[in-house]
Parts: sequence; structure tokens; C-alpha cells
Amino acid sequence: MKHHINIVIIALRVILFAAAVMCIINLLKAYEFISTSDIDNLYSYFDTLFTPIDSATLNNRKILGVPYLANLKWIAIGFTLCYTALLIYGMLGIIQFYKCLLKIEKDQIFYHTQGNQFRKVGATVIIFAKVKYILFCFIGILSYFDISQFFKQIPMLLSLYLIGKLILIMSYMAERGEFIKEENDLTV
Amino acid sequence: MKHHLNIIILALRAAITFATGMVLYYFGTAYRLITQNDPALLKGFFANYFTPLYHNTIDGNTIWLGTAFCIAYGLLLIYIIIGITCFYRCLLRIEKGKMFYHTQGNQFRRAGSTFIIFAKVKYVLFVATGALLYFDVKIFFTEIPAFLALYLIGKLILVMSHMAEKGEFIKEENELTI
Repeated sequence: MKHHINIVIIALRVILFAAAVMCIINLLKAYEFISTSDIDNLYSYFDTLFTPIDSATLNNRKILGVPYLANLKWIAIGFTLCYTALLIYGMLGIIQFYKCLLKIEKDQIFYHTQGNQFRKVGATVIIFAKVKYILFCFIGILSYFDISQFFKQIPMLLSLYLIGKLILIMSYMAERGEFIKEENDLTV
Repeated sequence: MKHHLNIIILALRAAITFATGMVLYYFGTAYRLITQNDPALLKGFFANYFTPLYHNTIDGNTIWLGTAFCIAYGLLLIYIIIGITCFYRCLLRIEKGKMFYHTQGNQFRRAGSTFIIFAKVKYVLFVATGALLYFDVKIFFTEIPAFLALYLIGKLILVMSHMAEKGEFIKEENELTI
């Protein structure tokens, strides 16, 4: 069983590393957007994330979304900062899950706060999935009128949401286990 | 908690229905490939899955390779349906308040290993077919996210099986003490 837990632990370490790198890249991007006012740089950043309804309008981006009304610069800065904050929130959840699994690996199963910890992790994953979906759809619409984001983000939302629910079931199992273990200890 | 369980159960039902539809589709395609023996049909079907490295021509022999792919993938989907059904039954019992019953750990383990085997075989099947039919090297990388997601879900279910086994043991001990 340790082999399976070790693989999940390694996967969590890789995810944490990837998320940390993404945070750093996002922060650097935000700094770049604040310090310079290069509009082409902004557009090239949004081009990698979103696609407008009509690709022909890429030549005249100013008629799309917010650029028509206001400066895209602050939208880009807000997006990168919000996404970084969201990634940090997701990382906190992953760290908690990682700690839970490390304890299980050490054979400390059904300890006092395990159910609570799993529940917190599950809730974090679900909130992360929902907020990420809303953020990408909202910014996609604001920047490029990108309606396709509503559909493109669904697989990621569903998979993260269901993983969160699976972790919540694990929390339920842990809570029941804690209860039986406590009962057992009291009987002995 | 029942609310969370119900959502997973609903998702599993949707997955089973979807997989059954896919099985029918793949077996139907295999039947059409055998009976019609039309290379254009094969080309059109596989264009959705693979991107060729070169514009290769398809001869009659690849029809059988395509048919074998459809049948193998259909059978693999039946295998995963069995795994999902096993997991579904486990969750139904948990929903009814039957936690840590005698065979729960075993059932979870079976479901988890089915997910992992499905992920591995699907990856090998797609990569082998893509390489054999279209020299598609890109498929080695494009299939990785789906493989990893299924593999890690399988591992998570195996961790659940470990928890269930431990719970069964403590529960049995508790009943014997009383």
C-alpha cells in the first residue's frame, strides 16, 4: 500500500512545484505589465489564453471587450494577481492533503483531526475549481469576448470538482473510522 | 455527506451511460469497416484521433488494423464499465450507511486497479495505433494528461481501499471486544 501512497505523494510534490513556478511567472508578468505600457505585450499574453469569437478581429483588437471602453493593462494585472492568489490558495489545500497522506504513510490512520483535514482539502479543491472557472470565463469575456471559455473550461472544472468530492468522501470515511477507533479505545 | 455521495453517484451513472454509448459506437464502426471495406471511411474515422506525420496512403490491410482498434477499445471500455460499476456499488452502500463492511476494501481495490489498468492499456493502444497507422508521434504526448488523470484517480481509490481495510479491521476488533 505504501507504494500507491508514495506515488500520490510524488504527484502532489510535482503539482506543488508546477503551481509555485506558475505563481512566480504570473507575478513577473504582473510586474512587467505595471512597469511597461507595451500594448503588444499585453495582447500576446492574452492571445495565449483566450481566442475571440471571430479570429478576423484579431487584427483590430480594440473593438473587442474592454479595450473598446478602457485600458486592458489593469485587467491583465488584476487577472495575473487574482490567478496567483488562487494558485496559492490551491497550494495550501494540496499541502494539507500532502500532510494527511504523509501521516497515513507512517501508519497513523484515523487520528483525531484527519476527517477535518480531508474535509478542508476537499472544500479547497472544489472552491479552487469554481473560482478558476469563473475567473477565466469573466476575463475571457472582458478581454476578447471569448465565449468559448464557458465550454473549454468545463472539463477542468468537472475533473477538479469530482476529485474534491472524492476527497470529501474520504473525509467521511476518516470521521467514521475516528469514531470507531475512539469507541474501541474506550472499550479496551 | 449524502449530498456529496449523490453527486459522485450521479457522475458515475453519467460515465457508465456515456461509456456504454461509446462501446456501441465503436462496435458499430468496426462492423461498418468490415462490411463496407472502404478506406475513406477508415481515414475519416481516424482523422478525429490521429494526425499523420506524412500524407500516407491507406491500403486494404489497415482496415483490419482499424477494426482491431475499434474492437479492442470497445472491450477496454466494457472493462472500465465493470470497474465503475464496482465503485458505484461501494458508494451506494456507503450512502445507505453501511460503512466498513466485510468486502469494502476489496471492492475499492478492484475498482482502483481497474482504473489504473484502463489508463495504461488505453495509452498503449492509442500510441501503438497512432504510430502504426499514421506515424503519429504527437500522440505520445497528447495522451499523457488523460493517462495521468485516470492513473491518479485510480491511486486515490486505492488509498481509499487502504482506509476501508483499516476501518474493517478496527470495526471487527471492536465487535469482538464487545
